[in-house]
Amino acid sequence: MTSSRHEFLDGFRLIVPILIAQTPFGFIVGATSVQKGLSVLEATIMSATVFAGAGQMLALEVWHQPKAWLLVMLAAASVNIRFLLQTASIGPKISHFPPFKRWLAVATMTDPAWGMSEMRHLTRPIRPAFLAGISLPIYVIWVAATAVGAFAGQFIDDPARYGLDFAFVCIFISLVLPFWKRSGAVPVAAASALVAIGCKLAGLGGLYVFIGALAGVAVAGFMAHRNAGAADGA
Amino acid sequence: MALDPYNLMLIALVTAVTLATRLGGALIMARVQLGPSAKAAFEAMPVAVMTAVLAPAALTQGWAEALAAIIAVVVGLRAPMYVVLITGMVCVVLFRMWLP
Repeated sequence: MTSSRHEFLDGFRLIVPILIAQTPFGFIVGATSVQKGLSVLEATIMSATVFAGAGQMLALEVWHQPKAWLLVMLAAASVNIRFLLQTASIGPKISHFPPFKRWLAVATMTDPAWGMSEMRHLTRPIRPAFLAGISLPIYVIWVAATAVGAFAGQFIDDPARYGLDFAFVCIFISLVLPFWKRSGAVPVAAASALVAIGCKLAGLGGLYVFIGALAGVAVAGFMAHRNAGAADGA
Repeated sequence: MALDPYNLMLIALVTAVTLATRLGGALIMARVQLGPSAKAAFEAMPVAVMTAVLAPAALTQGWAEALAAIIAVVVGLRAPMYVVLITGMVCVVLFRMWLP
């Protein structure tokens, strides 16, 4: 019992700085949701069931485009596909959890929960209470911050006046910067940016995201292929 | 407190897709061996998608937005998200007064 409490507090202490950083993100996602025509209740439900900020933000961008049902799924799949790799990596490391706790841990996986778990696994086994100490506060703060942001967002009639329409760009800058610093990311990002801008200027509508992303992914695959070939040849 | 069927349907779709990415990793991906190219392509997906979202939104709207975005990137190299948010939003409001 005491040891569970220790594990929970261990996780919680690690996550406090991230909770503080994520709160304004939640406000903005809530405010954006109501500006896209969701009610405060709908915005809160969306955060509670989707629980993935970048995916929510991107889906909201295409909410009112033609064939929105297809575009929101593509939007969510494209940024959330990283969960596929994260839970594939974490799955075997939490196989000793009871089944319910294991599936709950996987269903509520987030970038910080994944990162902290991988780090924990380097020194000692991951315990359910440790992950609960991370994921539970993130979930509660996320849903609460979205609800507050959605409530406040109702009273803003001209978002551009306060630069709120630009919050979307600022958030994606913050989200993508850690990735840009990784090795090999610059050519990928450059290809995505150039192709996406080209497609947007050519008037391809909402498709520019997917064509741009495809260009970046192709560059990454090609670079890995060439590196593998070089390693074989050497 | 309205619940609109259109909004609820889209929320359900986004939820289903997101849940599939989380459960799919543990269910399927843990059992599949990816080649190096396929693995690199998968790992590059978040950076490729986010950049493809970001670059046109930041750079094709006008000088005010482009300049504010560049400042936000420089600030973001060191500062956390809320600082980037505040700096970017303040810059864009000011630049819109002065720039086309």
